[in-house]
Amino acid sequence: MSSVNGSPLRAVSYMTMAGFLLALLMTSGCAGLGRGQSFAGTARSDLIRVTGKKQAHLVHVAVKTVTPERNRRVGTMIFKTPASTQTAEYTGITVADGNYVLVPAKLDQDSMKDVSVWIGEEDSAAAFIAYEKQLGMSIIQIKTDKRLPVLSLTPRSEAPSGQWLAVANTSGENDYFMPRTGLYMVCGRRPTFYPELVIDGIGVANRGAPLLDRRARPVAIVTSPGTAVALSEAFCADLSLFINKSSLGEPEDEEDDQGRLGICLQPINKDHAKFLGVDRSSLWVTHVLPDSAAAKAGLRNGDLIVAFDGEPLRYSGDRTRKDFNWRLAGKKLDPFSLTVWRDGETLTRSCRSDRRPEPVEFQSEELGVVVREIDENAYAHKNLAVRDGVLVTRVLPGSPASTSSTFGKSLIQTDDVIVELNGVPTPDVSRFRKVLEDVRIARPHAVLVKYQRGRLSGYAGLNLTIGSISNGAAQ
Amino acid sequence: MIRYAFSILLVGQLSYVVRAQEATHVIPDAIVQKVGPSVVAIQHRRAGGSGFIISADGYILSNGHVVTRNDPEFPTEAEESVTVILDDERKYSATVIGFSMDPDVSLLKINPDEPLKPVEFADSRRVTTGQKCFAVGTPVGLKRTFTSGILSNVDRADLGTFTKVLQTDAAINQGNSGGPLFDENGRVLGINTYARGGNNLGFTIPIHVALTLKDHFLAHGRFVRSGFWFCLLGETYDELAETLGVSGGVIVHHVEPGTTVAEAGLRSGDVIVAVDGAPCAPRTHAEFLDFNWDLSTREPGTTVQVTVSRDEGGKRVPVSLRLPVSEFDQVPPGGLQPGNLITYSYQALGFGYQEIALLTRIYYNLTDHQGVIVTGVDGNSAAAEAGIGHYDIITHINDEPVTDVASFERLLEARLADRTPVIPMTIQRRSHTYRTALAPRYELGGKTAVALVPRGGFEYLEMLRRELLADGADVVIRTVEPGAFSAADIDLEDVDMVVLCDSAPSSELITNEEVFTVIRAAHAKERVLAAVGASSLALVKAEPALLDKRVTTSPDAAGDAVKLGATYTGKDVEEESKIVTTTGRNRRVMKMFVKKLAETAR
Repeated sequence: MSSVNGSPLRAVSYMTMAGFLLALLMTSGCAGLGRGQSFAGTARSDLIRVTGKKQAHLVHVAVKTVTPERNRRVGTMIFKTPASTQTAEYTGITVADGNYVLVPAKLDQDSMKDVSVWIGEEDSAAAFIAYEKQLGMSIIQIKTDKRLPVLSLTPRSEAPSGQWLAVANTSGENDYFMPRTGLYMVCGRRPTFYPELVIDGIGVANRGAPLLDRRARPVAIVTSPGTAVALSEAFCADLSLFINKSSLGEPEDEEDDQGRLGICLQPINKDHAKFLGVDRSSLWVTHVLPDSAAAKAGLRNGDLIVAFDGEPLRYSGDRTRKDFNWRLAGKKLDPFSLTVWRDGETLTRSCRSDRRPEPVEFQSEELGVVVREIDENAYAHKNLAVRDGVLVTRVLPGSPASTSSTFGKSLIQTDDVIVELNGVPTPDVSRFRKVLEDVRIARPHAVLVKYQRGRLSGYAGLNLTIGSISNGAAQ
Repeated sequence: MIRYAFSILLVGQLSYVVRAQEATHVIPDAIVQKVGPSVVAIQHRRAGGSGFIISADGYILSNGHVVTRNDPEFPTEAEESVTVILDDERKYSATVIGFSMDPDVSLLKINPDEPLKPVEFADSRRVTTGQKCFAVGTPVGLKRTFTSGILSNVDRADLGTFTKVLQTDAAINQGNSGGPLFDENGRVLGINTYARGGNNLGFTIPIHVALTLKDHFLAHGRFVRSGFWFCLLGETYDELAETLGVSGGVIVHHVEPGTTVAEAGLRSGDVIVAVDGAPCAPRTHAEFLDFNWDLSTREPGTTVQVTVSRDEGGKRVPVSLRLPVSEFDQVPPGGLQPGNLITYSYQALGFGYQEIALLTRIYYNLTDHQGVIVTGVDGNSAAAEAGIGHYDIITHINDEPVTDVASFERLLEARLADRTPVIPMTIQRRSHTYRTALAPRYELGGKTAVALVPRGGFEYLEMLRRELLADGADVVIRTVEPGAFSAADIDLEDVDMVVLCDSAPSSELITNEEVFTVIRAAHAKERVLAAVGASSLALVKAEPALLDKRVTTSPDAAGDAVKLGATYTGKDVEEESKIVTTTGRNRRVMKMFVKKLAETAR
């Protein structure tokens, strides 16, 4: 500035003014927020008191990444860039019992061998659990005998611009990791998928640290220099689902999970809920599988589930369904109750999920298909037109079933239902196997398959002399 | 020395001249001169392609995809303002007589000042692989481009097309579409249509197919596709024939219950071995496509005597059947041909819907539930918030069953007219029954629009009415009859919008003094004034203050607008300080107009 204006004196006066304005801004910020949310009159001891309350919940996570050697071409010259190692450091928050720690970074199994974790001054091992793309956060589990206290991340109203927040950090510091404990002001917000706060001056060393209000309640998590994700309703809901999923263990399959109870669910549209007078989170039962646990419990298509085991359902939209599925998965085979709204009345039904046997699956090497029994679940989910037949779940490449005269067009396709082989009905897997045994004995050149594809039936002649299994026999 | 060098140079020049004279032509110059004038470039506002003249009075063949408007909402409509540029750079506005997407053919007509030079046709059924051919067209906009090659395959049947196509290694690029592929004598073998990946893989619709479609377009304006309604047929390749126990024929894969061929006795598993006494035994898909083309182009309403080989207790017995040939039912947008299934929509609610045809159920594997099928949902609309999705069947509105488009609109509009805040709906999504509710935003809630319509009616009145209704407005329609219509009939205290609905320049709306009185009064009260087509003239005639406002009108009324001193812009939709005008030239423009009108009224 001085070189442009040519007046060092003027530069000094500008700097003085800037300093004065900053002081004024800070003062007014503190004074303006004195009505409950500010850190007015905060002394260093107060700050330590607030941030110190949360230190026990935090760990220091250092992730080492190695960039391999690479060649860089400039014109005809090739320069070698040697392999390098960078270390990214984060503050991890303990979010679930069992020492599950949240880290705002994309981690995976491979990266864990280069992860170091310190609780205070103590070095610990950690295991990768999961990464969630939407949240941009990973969960790791610290292997220690200590039981780290859990920091509850609950939704808070968004901190307005001008509010001062304290950043909490781990107690341990080393030569490389020196997070700054201090006060930071919210300078604005970004209307991103999860609303973010612009926090002026917060640095790279604070990534992952919670930002606290004066009552030491977390209101945001620092994600990158100058940015913190606010603990909004949506963020906390998704984070909670992610934490549950990571700490409780993943159920085998969501569809399978639904199948155990035997219902298909759809979250209610909020306008419809208002219209019906069901002013809370709820799920429509859109399909009840016959003979399922849900059918036995008396649930019907069109019921509206409003509570699980006495607790009202939470969240809205698809989060409600995910949360319901997690709570259901947690029950395993234990009994629970479902409160449903039906034609203006509220009913409670006792339920107990059952373990349906896995559908019988069979791989026919001769034809080159994997087929399975059509159970009610498959019938409903695949919208099949017939029940008597076997469902094709896989077509083996290069097999008679996959080879037609048009390259890339398979004679039999996944989700086809094979209803006849050589004119003999195949209503289930055992009959299908029986007919195949006859084929194996007769060793014909080709076999006639009648199938159902969507609403249409079709015929295919499979040449049994092609494909990996038959090649040897046919020579 | 200089003289020596000069003589070398001279000899060099001479040898160059001699070489030029001796240059061999892959395509003789006479052929180039013969075919060049018959090939044209086609342009419209989105893109363009090529075409060729087939008659002296200006009929031109091209591809369907060159002229389609490519709007799923209006699958049968061609692009507007198509321009044909002749070889000598003369330009003509063209009318699209008809088009089909598969086979990819269109017929255009221009009105030339003098007779044009049409092409000659080869017999595309009698072509052989390896014969020389050359393509002419406008690849990437480069007019009069000749590329040469051979016919690489004359039975290409594995591209999923409705007919066999010819394959050539003559370079076919974007913009060659619709141009001719000639044989070495300069006779048209087919219409170049597209290239697929790789190098030198171009495909051409055989000219005999295109000429059949031309006749359909001239007679019906579209391809009338016929066949056995409804069954799915296929070739009997060797393994299938062997396992079915027949020597050949056409396999009947599926017969839809309740359709005409099912009633005529055809069964799935039958093998058609003869049609009208002539044996048929397609072994390959190419042979089957020839059989199918013959069937598809038969006259609907006729019958065919077929012999089928039927499995009766493990034995094949011949059965004679008389099968009716029917025109195929409506086809959902799927690329086969422009179907005549109209997509209706409520722009204000954010979704489109269609009648459910049998082929719709087959294509999308839908259940047999009655209702209307949702064909598209706008993001961030009331329909999206209600969770309505593509291919959902709306079966009930407020527990009342929806049987067709008419009942759907009746039930929905009854609630829209009452401005019901939440409209419960039942939806069938595959095998799941889903209940939801539509909460229209009624952004024009409480506003009233008066539509002034001439005696002859107004083409887009229904669309205007339903869109304004779906947005929450009350719509009053008044017919302007000379002598009968009085400005006093309209109480502008209760009116927020006055819409002049007309597109003809000779309308009474433009001359009626009572209409002018309404316009003046509405302008004085600062109401929204809107006009479609030529009726914009009424605005500027009635109220001189409106001459300063930007307006648009139909092209045939533009001259009058300028003469009157209007601030004419020529845009499709124009808006300035509560004056909304449009050319009203098509449904798409009308939708833009309604949207602008609603925005202005809010």
